[in-house]
Amino acid sequence: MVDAQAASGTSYILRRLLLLPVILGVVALSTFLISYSIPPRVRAVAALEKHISEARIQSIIRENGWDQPFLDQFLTYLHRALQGDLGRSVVNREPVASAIRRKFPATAELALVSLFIALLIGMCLGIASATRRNSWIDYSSALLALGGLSIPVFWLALIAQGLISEYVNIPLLGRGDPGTVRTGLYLLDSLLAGDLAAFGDCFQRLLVPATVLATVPMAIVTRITRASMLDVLGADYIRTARSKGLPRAAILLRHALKNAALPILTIAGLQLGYLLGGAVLTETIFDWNGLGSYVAQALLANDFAPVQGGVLVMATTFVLVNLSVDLLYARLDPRVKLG
Amino acid sequence: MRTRLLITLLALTTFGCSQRSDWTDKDTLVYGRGSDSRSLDPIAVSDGESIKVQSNMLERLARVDFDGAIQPCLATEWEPLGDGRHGLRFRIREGVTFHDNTPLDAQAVAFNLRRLLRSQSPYIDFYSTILPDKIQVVSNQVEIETSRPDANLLRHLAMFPAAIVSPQAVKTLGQDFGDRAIGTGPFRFESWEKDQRIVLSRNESYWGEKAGVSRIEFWRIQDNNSRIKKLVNGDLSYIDNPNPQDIETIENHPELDYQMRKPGQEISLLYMAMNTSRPPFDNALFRRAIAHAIDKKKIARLFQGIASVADQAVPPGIYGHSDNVQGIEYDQKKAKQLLEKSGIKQRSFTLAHMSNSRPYIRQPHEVARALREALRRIGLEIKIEKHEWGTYLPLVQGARHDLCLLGWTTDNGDADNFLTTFYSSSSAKVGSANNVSFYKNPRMDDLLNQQRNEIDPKKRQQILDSIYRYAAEQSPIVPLVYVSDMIAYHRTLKNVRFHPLGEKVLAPIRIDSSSETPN
Repeated sequence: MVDAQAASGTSYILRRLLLLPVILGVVALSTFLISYSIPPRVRAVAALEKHISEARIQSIIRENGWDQPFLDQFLTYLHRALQGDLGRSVVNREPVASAIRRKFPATAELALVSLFIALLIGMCLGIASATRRNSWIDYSSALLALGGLSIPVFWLALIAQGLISEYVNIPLLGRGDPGTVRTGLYLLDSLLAGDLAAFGDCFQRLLVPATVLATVPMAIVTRITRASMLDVLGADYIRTARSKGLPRAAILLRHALKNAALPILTIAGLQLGYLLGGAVLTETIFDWNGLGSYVAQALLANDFAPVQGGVLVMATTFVLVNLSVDLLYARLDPRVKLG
Repeated sequence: MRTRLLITLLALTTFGCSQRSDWTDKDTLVYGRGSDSRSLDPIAVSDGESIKVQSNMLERLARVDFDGAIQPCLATEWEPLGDGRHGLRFRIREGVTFHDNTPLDAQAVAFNLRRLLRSQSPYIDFYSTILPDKIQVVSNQVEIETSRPDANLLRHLAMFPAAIVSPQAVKTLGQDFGDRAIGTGPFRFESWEKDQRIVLSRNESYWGEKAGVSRIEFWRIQDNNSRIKKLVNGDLSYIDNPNPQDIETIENHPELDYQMRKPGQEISLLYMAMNTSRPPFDNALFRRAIAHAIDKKKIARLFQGIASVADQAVPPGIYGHSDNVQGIEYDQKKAKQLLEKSGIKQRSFTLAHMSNSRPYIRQPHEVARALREALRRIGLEIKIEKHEWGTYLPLVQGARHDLCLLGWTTDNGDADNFLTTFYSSSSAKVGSANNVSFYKNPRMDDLLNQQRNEIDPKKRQQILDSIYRYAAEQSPIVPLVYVSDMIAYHRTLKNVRFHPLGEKVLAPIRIDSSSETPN
């Protein structure tokens, strides 16, 4: 029985992994089509600023192969992408793959810390609301969640930045200096280097954008936790636990929360996928040098190689994160069968 | 142990050291700007953000000083070639080394000039009179021969594309030279985190007066609001182009100051071009009617104090601007008379504009609406078309517009740069035109050639004046406003000045921490 379940799990993973190239192929084709639909002359102008000459336009078109037939262009793109070459930006000539390698850890760090903040605060508020239903705590957390969902993140980012520049002395420029860059996750890098001061500096710079970015997932986590906990708290086994005289904390954390965790995990996984996709506005406002602002900036400049590469990486990340969540699901709840 | 770690982190987060004292202590100029540079190779770029950094690392044979005069730089002196030959002979400064410790000599200068002439530099036309095989090295001198008298040769050699870089670095770095250019300037390249920060450090073995700060960090801060907030916060010490509405914030802040290029010193122009390649804009009377209908004072007011009315195509901060020429005055009655006289019956046209702000226009749609309103008063119906910059340029360069808005900022501080752009038939090639009115007139071309070949400044100014008068009569473009640029900075920075070419020459700036306002 166990073997059959394991085999079914493995085949599920295999199927999902086999599906990945198909999804990525579709994403690659879609982004390529968007880019292809823009006339080569328009794309060439992105590389130029002043004194644009016909000779320069034609040379850029030739250099990038934009004068070739569609199929040739797409196959060349795919062939290079499979070798890890995602082309070059026409604006600053930087290879897209190396730009993404540098920027993805910045987005990942921001996303992970945001999710941590969202889960920590969201779950606490959700549990408090569920256990004190219709109290001022419940109403306040509902209000907070509503605010988190309704207030546009870019507005909150601007307000946060304004307040900090006026009243608090936290640096807002760049990600700090972790000393030696190993993983690109500066908090981790500074800890690996044993440099607490650098860790503090990087943490300060990360705290505000991460908190701003956490507002939407926090609101969602709060509401999901509340609903899920209310469901579980009414169950028979919780009543039994109470009647046995178990401490309140043990009932909540060991029995209720564990069983209420699945929906929270699902939503956390989805949110992480979105966050890793690049928080375009937050990254732009805080000048966080991540994947989101990279793609957005390139899109505005009609510089399509970074857009194609960035979207491909975002799609891959989203699919892989969701696959991981599905696998975790089965691990946390033996009743869930993959297949 | 865990509690102690947490307390340390909290303490660091809450009581982190002041950013301002950080850059003061490090003697660093922290510069915030809207975009990153594209390349540090002078022959590869034309964008202001690249030039901004290059101007502090790379030098030319001559340089334009803060008063607009051309001064010796890597050449100590120059003289005409003589013997019936056109061109200049430069004596190269001795004892100068590049940042890679290789020496500067006449061979290195010749190498750079030949490299420029072989390149696809956007500015290659500026150097078209130079004969490539007539660049000669004689001892410590370089002779540059031209095909005809060229009034602007020296000025063009004082421009950034003619910067002298290390030949050895060009050979060694190859394609990567644009990522870490090596010159002789007061600052040397330190590092570049693309899309974020370029760091330069003081060249301690600089041949001239050493730079005032030991380090410059150029940070890309895309959002204008964000840039001003980071200046207030103390993260940045210097920013360019704050919004006009931020002036109040800066004025009310005891630690901040700002500068605006004064009226009479502007180097940028916003204009409206009429596509003369399609009727009825091929009719000069009709074009002049439109020019008379526009109240430029009203347009200038939209710029909230950073623009003044333009009476000719060349801004007042540019060499060759004339005080003796009257522009076309705002006169609706005259406009209607000219419209009638032109015999044109068509009344509906389109006005194209870019959707994004540019250095010479921050609110394109408002300006377009004001123009539509002005032209409606003389009975013309204008439909406004908004385009993204990437599609806008091909549209107007491809002559697919009636009226359009565009601007120009100086490249070399000389009138010819503006006039050739706006009025020369050589700039009116469909598809890649800078002359987006597609105005072609042999008489105008002849006048433009005359001023280019005239070495005597007085005679040249007379030719320029006649160009301005003829341009007003023909009106292929309507010069609207001269636009000023702004910088804001921390008061501890001293010697902050505008450069007449719009370049950011930062070497004279120093940090005077004794003048800090106590918190």
